[in-house]
Parts: sequence; structure tokens; C-alpha cells
Amino acid sequence: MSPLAELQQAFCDALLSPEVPAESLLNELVDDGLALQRFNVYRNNFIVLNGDALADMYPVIKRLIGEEAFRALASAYVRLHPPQERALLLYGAQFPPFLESIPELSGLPYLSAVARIEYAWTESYHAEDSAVLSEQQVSTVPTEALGSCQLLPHPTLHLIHSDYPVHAIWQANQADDCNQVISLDQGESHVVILRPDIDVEVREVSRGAFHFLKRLQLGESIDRAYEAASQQDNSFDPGSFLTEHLFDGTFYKIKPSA
Amino acid sequence: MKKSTSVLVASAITTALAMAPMTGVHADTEKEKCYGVAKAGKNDCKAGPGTSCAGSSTVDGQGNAWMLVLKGSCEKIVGGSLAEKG
Amino acid sequence: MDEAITSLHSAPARVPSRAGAGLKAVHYQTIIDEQPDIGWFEIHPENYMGQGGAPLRYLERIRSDYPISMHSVGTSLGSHQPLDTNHLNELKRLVDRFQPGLVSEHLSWSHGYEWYTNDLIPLLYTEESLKLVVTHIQQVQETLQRKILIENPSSYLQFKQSEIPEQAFLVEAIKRSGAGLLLDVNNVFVSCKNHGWDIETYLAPITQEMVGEIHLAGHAIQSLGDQELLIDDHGSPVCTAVWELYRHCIDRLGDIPTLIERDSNIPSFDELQQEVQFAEQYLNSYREMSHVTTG
Repeated sequence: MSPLAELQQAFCDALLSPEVPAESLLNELVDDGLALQRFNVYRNNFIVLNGDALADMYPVIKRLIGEEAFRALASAYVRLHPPQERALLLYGAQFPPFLESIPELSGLPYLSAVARIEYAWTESYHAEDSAVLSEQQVSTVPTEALGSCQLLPHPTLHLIHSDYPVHAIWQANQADDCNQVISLDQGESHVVILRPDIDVEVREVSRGAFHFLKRLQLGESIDRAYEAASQQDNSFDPGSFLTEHLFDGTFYKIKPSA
Repeated sequence: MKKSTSVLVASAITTALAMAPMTGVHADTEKEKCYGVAKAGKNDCKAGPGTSCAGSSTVDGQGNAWMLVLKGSCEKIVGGSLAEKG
Repeated sequence: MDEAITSLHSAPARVPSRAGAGLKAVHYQTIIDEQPDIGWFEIHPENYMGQGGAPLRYLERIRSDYPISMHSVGTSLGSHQPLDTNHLNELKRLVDRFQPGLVSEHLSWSHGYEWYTNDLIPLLYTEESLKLVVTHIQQVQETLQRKILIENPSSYLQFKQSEIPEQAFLVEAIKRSGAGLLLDVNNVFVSCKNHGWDIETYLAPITQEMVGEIHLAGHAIQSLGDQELLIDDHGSPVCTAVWELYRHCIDRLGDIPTLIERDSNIPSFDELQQEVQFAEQYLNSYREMSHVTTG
């Protein structure tokens, strides 16, 4: 390995470790008695600036556990999962499973799903702009062929399920609303995140609607998706769901099944 | 595939189509000046907190060297497994 | 749709010899609503590397009213690793779409393994590094089909193995690659103070023809025993000493487009604009003076 490659890798090793850097690296630095402090500027940049990017991605998690705990977790996360891309727009993909792996957080079992909502929000925010389904597109399909068509959800759409009322928790933390009481006994939550135009929307939907969208997202025909959804939720009514959502940006394309 | 499913789905879609506004324009004039939420960029070329000890604190995520001090936001999340914490 | 967008800007809008400001998301709406009299804006292209959505719409709108400059933080010119072609292609896509008047990058590295530090780490100033940096600058310029500017870094440490003074390394890299110089006056001040370098010696090899842009920003001062370390945190107004150094640089190098950078403790747009106007006043008075002396 060239001296440059060796030095750069040793430097990166030292950034990842919270310990005093190896003697072999410190010996490479011009020393005026402050070599360690000088190195620390870079390690602080690495930990804190990437931690800032994570805090920007997960503002609700930060509110739920507090600044101090968030910073401690962010430092550990940055060391475990340093940025894989130069643009930090989507940094923090592994944070939801990371939260699940921390024993101290087991008393907050909803945290990881709330984090998934936040990550999906940002993914939608930066996703490619796509048109929404138009009346024109649907009206060209013969009525008898509709059921066998694929009805594709908008490409920016994400589906998140949790056993806890994570939509309510996420919603309560969008504003400084101090008076809300959210009971975990409210139970499960089915969340849809999408960006039909410029604003990201976060909606709570029924269990049936969630599974309907999930099957449609997998490319199944409308008939099959409906059957699967009604098995999950026999109260699912495709009529009222589609009347409300067929043209509101939830969908972007209808086409004959492949 | 049950025939009733197809009929039900087709009728749901034709109903949705019948009830949709056929204008094809969705209040575009309202949106002309709106570019959406302006989220701050995350890449820049500033330096962080300098020589503080932020990067050398010994939390390691392994659960043995640190205690998480959880100070949550002001709304109350109650019930479920949190009930005992009041 | 992409073709229609590309054709909006068929050629780069030249960045004028005026003062400009770093474009911050919190100021988007003010800029669109109030159309302030400001020469140009600078962005970090990495913040616009999403596929769609609000950031690109804001940028499209602001670019239709102002020239912009793209100041990359991600190419890692000094890394022993090959350049990331995905990142370069993303950069090219943005350059082609928004046609910036200037494109720049730092003399630094951020890529040691298969992950990124998201920071600007100083180079080992050796002949090995110089060859590598020159090759990488040329690769960026060939990809973008245009000349780029290289910025002098602010730094906090030096490597013992370095054999070439920073300014000599920088000027040589620029000469060999055909790039230009983005002279960050605050970085000159910060690095010279941090390493005990002489500012005049640092500036000596820098000539008017090299410099395409100037940066100004504030820094923080940290005391360590009886020593001080300056931290380039872009978190306060430009300090008096850096303004003096700026005037000195303009007198020597001419009326070069000048950017005020602010990345933390971001003030209101009005406050930022006052600092921009302060730089612009000096550019104007320099022009008047040089007109009097030469005319």
C-alpha cells in the first residue's frame, strides 16, 4: 500500500474509534503539544456533523427521547454506519433497526416504526416527481377489463405498519402540542406516506386499505388485491376507498396485468 | 377469480370515475407560488464544534458503558408496556 | 420533461464580479418573494442530488432569477481511492441542468475506505499526492467538460511526511491541471494562524489570472492553554482581520466575485445581505480607484 493510502486509512480508523488514536497515527502529525486536540477537531466534525444530518432526518425521535439521548445514540450510529454516499440527503437508513437493537430503548417499542415514518417521509420528499392517475387513463379501460388490471400506487408511496399507534405519535410531534395524551392501547397503526405533487402526505388508513395498497404495489391485479385485502379486513369497502383515493394522487398508472 | 370480485371492483372504479371532477385541472393557480417545505441541505463545508470532547465520549452502543437518559417530549404516551412508568 | 428543463438554461450564466451569498433553504421564500439585488448565489450540489421534489423546484426558480455557482464538497480530490463515478455523473447532471457560472471543489479528501467522512481532511503534501490530485481534477474537468476552481482548505493539523508547502502544492496542482483557484480568504487566515504560517508567504505565488472566486466567512476561536485554534465554523459574521485581508487581496488580485458563506447560526436574509453589500462596496470602490489610477 502507498504511504498516502496507509495514512488515509489509519486516519479513518481513528475517526471511527472513541479511543485515543494509535501512536502510529499520532506520530504522523506535526506536534506542537496539541496534536491530539488538533486531531479531535476532525473526529468531532465526523461525529457531530453526521449526527446533525441524522437529527435532521429524525426530529420526532429526537423529541421522543430528548437531545442528550439522541446525541449519544447518533454518535454510536455514525461509528457503526458511517455515510455510504457523498450526498447526505438520505443518510440514516439503518437507524430504525439500530434503535430496535438498543436494550435501553426496549420500553419504547414504537420508536423504530416512528423512525421508519420519518425516513419514508424524506425518501418521498426527494423522490422523482411522478404524475398522478388521471380520469382519462381510467376511462379508456373497458369496464369488464378493470378487475384484471394492475393499479399501480404512486412511486413515492410507502406503507408502514406497527402494532402501536405510531401515526398518532408522529402527528402529535409535528407541532408543539403539549396536551395530547396518546394511549398505546389504541393499538395498531397503518400508515401511508406519499408525495403526489410537492408536499409529502402522511395518512392513517384502515387495515384493509393498507393490504389492498400493499398487494397493488407488488403488481397484483385489482381483483386479487381486493380479495387479499378483504381476507385481512372484511369491512374493507373498495367502493368508498377508491371514490376517495383513485384520483387524489395515491395512484399513478392503470395497465393490463403482465 | 370469483366473478363477484371483478364486478365489485369494476363498479367501485366506475363509481369513482363518475364522481371525479372531469375538469382535469386541480387548482393549479393556487399552487403557483408554492414550492413546498424547504428542508435544509445537509452537506456543507463548515467545521463542527472544534476541540470539544464530542467525538471521544465513550458511548459505544453496546449497552455496557452508557446509560441513556431519556427525556421525552411533552406529550404523554401512556398505556401498553409503558403503563408501569406512569 | 427532462429535456424541457434542460433547455431552460442553454448556457452558463456568468457569475459577475459582484458579491454573492451562499443559498440557504430558510431564505428560499424571501429570495423568491423579494427578489433582492444580489449578484449571485452559491449552492452545494450534494444538497440537490435528490431525484425530484421541493429543493430542485426552489433551485430552478432561483436560477431563473440569478446566476449560480456550484461548490462541491463530495468529490474527495485528494483521496487515494478512485473518484466515485456515480457522484461525478450526478454532479454532471446538475451542472448540465442548472448551468452554473462557476464550479468548484476543495483541496482535501473525505474517502479513506468505502465510506465517507463528510468532512474536508487535509492532504499529505507530497509529489505522490500532487500527481493524484492533478489526475482527479482532470477527470472532473473532463466529465463536466469545463474548468473548475480548487479551494484552499482551512486545516487544523499537518502531516510530518508533507514535503511541499500548501500554497506551492495548490498552485502547482492548478497549473498542471488547468484549473483555477477559489481563494478562501478566511481559510488563509485560519490555516496560517493554526500552523504559524506567514500570510504574505502563503499569498505570494497566487496571481490574478489564477483566481476565479473569493470566499469569506466567520470563524470561532478556541483557547487551548496559552495557544489558540481557529475553527472554520461559518457561524458568525466575517471578522475585522479577515475583512482587512480581503481588501488586501482585492487590491492585489482585482475585483473577483466574492461569496459570503454562512452555514451555522444562520441570520435573517436581511442581515446576510448587509454583509454581502459590505463586500460589494469594497469591490465598487476598488473599481473606482483602479479607474482613476489607470484612466
